[in-house]
Amino acid sequence: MIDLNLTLIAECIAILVITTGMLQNLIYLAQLGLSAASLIETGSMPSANVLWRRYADTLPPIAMLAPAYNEALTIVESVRSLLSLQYPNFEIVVINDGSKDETLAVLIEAFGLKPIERDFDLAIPHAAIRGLYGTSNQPRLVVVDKVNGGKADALNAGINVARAPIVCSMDADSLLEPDALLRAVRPFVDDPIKTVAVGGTVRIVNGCRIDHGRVVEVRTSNNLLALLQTMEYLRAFLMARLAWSRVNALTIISGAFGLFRRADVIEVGGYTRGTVGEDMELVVKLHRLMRDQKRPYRVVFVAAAVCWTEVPEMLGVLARQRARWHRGALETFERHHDMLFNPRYGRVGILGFGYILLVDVIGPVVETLGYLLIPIFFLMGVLSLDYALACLAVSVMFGVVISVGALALEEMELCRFPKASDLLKLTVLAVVENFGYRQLNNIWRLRGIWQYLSGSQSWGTMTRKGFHSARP
Amino acid sequence: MNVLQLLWWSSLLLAGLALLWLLGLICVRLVREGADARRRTARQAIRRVYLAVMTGAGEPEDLLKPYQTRSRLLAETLLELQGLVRGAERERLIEALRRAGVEQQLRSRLTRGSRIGRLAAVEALSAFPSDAVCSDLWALHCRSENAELRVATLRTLIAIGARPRIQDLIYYLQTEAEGASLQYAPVLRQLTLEDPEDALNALALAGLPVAAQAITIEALGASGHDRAMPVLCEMAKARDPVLRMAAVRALGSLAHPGVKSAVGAALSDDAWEVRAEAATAASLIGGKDLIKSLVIQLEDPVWWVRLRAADALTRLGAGGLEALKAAVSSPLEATRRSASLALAGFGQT
Repeated sequence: MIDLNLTLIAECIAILVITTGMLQNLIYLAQLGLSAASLIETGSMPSANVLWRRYADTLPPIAMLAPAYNEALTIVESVRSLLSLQYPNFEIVVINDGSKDETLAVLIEAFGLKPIERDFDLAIPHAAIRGLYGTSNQPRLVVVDKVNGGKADALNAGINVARAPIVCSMDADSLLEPDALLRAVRPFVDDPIKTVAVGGTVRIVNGCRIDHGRVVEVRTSNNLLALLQTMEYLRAFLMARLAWSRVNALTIISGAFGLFRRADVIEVGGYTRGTVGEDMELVVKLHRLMRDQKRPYRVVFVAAAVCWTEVPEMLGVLARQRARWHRGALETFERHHDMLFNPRYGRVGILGFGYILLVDVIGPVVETLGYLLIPIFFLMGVLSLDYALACLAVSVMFGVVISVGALALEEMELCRFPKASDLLKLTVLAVVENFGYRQLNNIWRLRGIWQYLSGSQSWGTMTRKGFHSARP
Repeated sequence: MNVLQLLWWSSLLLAGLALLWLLGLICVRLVREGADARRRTARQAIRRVYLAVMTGAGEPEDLLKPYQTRSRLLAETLLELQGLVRGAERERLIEALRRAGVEQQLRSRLTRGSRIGRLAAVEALSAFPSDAVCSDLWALHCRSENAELRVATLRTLIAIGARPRIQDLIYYLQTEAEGASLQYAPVLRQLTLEDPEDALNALALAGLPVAAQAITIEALGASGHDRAMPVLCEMAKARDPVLRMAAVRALGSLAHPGVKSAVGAALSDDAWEVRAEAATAASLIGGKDLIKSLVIQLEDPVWWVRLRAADALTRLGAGGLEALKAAVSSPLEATRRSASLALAGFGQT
């Protein structure tokens, strides 16, 4: 009788694990199809020169918001890179969020900044601003020095100080491609009434050659961890975000590169302070506002607009980052749980939140259950090893097909990897990631769940090498 | 076949699929790299041919013969040169290209091939003004469902002096989204500047998308057309705030003393966007008699209106500065802040 019950439990758990995995894989497959359809529909974008010739006189002003906390190592190069962006009308608002290092001092020194008086909005809350700095040599540049309050708080200060109708949130240590704004702003030109937010692709800079704040040669990193993340980023951006964007159910725009209509951001109260997932939270708040007010709107992802960012090359740092991301997703899910499967919120509630429920809430728990219990049941003789291995093989191979699909999207739209051998390397990684990295990722996500449940608000630290020290 | 075998076969099938797909990607990559290299070489060769034709160093028919089917390349290379070359050399090149049948080639490219190639052909045809080109472009504009292509045809039509009537253009702004697209803004602006009467007639039409009306209204202001003033003053009272905003902005561009009362009324509009525009317009028309109203706007609940009002006061001479100085001692903190920061920005504290 006990054996029978145990077998039944084992089978139920196995079915739960397999069903969850299959559902996830089916969603990935659907995403792949939607992304491909989206890329075929929009076609490839013309060169920056052509874009400039066609649209320069119609482009709306943009305020670039670059929050910086202890970024003395990279900030000057990042700002120089921003100043050289190809866009006719933009201002750069760097927000020094109470850095403990020399961030403000190096900015003052490098650009000859002086304290300025400038009227600014007090529409959304943030920690006190200590001073504003500017220079007549670089009229596009404004530096805000404020008391530390976190990234969301810094972005809120930047939104208040900005005067352009569109704000672009980014990380001070990220590098935008020179034509990134020209490409990303297209939805605001094509449909200025409906477009409320636009996200761009974030790519991994580790291993690339950087010169004067620009990626001059794309290379895949020699670091295994960075390579594994390269594949992940491709799937996340070129597959998931493009797909959800096509059905207007995109619930996240990366904090590293996103454009928002300032008035709408102010209307939702700006970035939510005290959360680690402020980027996702803002997009969900925008969806909620638009749906509640029954206003037609679009949240769009533009794959051709590219931003480069450095990713962790050490396990400890990556673990903290992933736990934090997961905690952020759960916090947003909890805050807006009433949107889940709520017809009032349309596809966002059903697809967007359903996806979060499956992948972020249920996914890690079920996967862990599988890792822990299936071997135990096998050792106890209630599950067949043959079946377990066969299921594992199907799951791994399905994942590889999806990853190759993401590479195909990359080849269709961006084609940034210079060598064909890179495609092969990344495909091998798509197999390798299933044995160790995937499990680690799951542990980090569980840690995120634990932090969420225990109410932790820690950000952890990100150790950066600085762009100039990236592989020469 | 039992379930176990099915699972293994499935995984093998998936592995094979992944491998095939990858091989396909690598093959496509290699083919594309080859094609790109050939395209680069051909582009350079065409550039050299164009330069040779401009300097009279060869017969265009012979030189262009190997590239006569490469319409997109011919168009893109011509567009590159068009921005750089003017005068007799340009005319010599265009004439030679016409003789070599490039115009015909580009016209036939309008209806076939990729969108990017068709766009390049549309833009390059601006070098070949003729009735046949106009007719082809207008046909493409009416038939195409792609907004980008339609805007490009309009730009080329304007460039070759075959300006469409605004009313005709509006007829083809089929959807609200397209009507709102900023892509049309420079086209409508240019058409309005060239023929303000046509724009005035178009504004009287029903069914014109609001965004298109707003662009036309603003362009009317920039045109300085004498008949525009009463229409714009009327538009400043329109029901839609987007139209009121555009009208007030246009009144500012007109900068005619006769619009002061309309701008003054707009300073107390219900929509803050209109009030902000009115403040800017007041500074543009130099409405010193509007100083009192602008001072009231310093108490506006919306920061952007206060900012624009303070900025306007700094531009209205001594009277405006005096008003700002007085506002520094206002009991309202927001007013004090706007006034003092405007004065500080102006070099006065």
